[in-house]
Amino acid sequence: MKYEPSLPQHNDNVIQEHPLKDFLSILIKLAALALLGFFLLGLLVDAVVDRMDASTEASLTQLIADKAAPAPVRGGTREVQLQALVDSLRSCARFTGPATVHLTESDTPNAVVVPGGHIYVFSALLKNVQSENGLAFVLAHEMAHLAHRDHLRALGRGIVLYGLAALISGDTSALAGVLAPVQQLGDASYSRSRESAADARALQVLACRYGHAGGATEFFEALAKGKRDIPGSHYFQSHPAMQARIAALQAAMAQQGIKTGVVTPLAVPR
Amino acid sequence: MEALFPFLPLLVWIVPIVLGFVFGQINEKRHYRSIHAREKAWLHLPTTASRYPILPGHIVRSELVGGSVVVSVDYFKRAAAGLRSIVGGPVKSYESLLNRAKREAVLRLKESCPGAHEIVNLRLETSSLSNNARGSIGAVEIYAFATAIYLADATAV
Repeated sequence: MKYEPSLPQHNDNVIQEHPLKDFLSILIKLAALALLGFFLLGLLVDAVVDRMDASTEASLTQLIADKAAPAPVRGGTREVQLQALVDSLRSCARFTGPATVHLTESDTPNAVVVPGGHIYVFSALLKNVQSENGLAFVLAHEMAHLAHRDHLRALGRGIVLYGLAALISGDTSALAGVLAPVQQLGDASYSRSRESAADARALQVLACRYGHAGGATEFFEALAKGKRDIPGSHYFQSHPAMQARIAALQAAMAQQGIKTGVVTPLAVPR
Repeated sequence: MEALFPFLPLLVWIVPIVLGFVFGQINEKRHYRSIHAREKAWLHLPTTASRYPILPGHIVRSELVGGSVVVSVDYFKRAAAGLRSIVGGPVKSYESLLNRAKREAVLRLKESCPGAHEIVNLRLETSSLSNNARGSIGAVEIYAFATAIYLADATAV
């Protein structure tokens, strides 16, 4: 046999397809699968939280409550007045769990809930509401978060997200930075829907307690006056834009036939 | 602009992958052009894995020759392989890299003995430099070695 030098006609060892094709096809399929998994497991978290009995909720809350935080000093007259207002809303809110109000000196007009039934009212909030009704709406909104067990939902979603990330990547340490914006985007969208739900419930409570919904939009109007929304930032915010919340409340009032009425002056000193 | 701040950590991942893709592709194309041209140029040198020469004639000299190449993956290939390792299947991004390295090693071997009449006993060895340690540079060495044969009365083939 004579040796004939020649190169092979074609070489199957060299793949001709574009390298991005393989990369993108896996990336897109995995991302779609992970998103679907996150969505379905998120629904599962909601289902579990909805069906949870009070004692399980209490023991879970005990587990995640921030023990490191120092117990706030109680006893200020304003705090007592706020507590009385919250307690007066209980029957309308149909809320039987613990709800302890703490007043904190702060320039941020806000109120937050902490697992364990603690409602923290920042002192600047009192300057941003004109009437007891306006304050009651904000407190009812925070009570709605407690009633809806929103902290457990957020916790469950966090566990699901990092669980999925660990499952796919093998570890979460390197992924944490990448997941942060994804989580913020996802959480913010979910959180906005929870805020809207809390607003809707607070409106019901306000109408039940005072017989009308006067003052419901007081706080949001005060905040909307003070600042301008950055375009696009909406998607990252955990709360809906103030104007949108006011519009949603007014739409709900019109739809349910809730009238506004004369508001009660604020008894709590500013 | 402010809205983009949360995506900054994501950029830390995306930028090296894009850079790796752009420069990796440019390098790969250039390397393949060089490989194709040199393989054509060295076509006259018969090279086999056989222990016996295929050319007739009296062997006056034989020597051990070798060619070695160390290649590293770029960020894009690594990311593509990382994704592939989740779902399984052919790691196409590494295939072209190792194909280039092997052909380059054989070409270097041939270029080390320009006067030889035939190459026999060609062997290839691959060794991983990183040993899969985390955070280390993923690189492999391909070593081609063979026996170069010099004939007294080389007849054209």
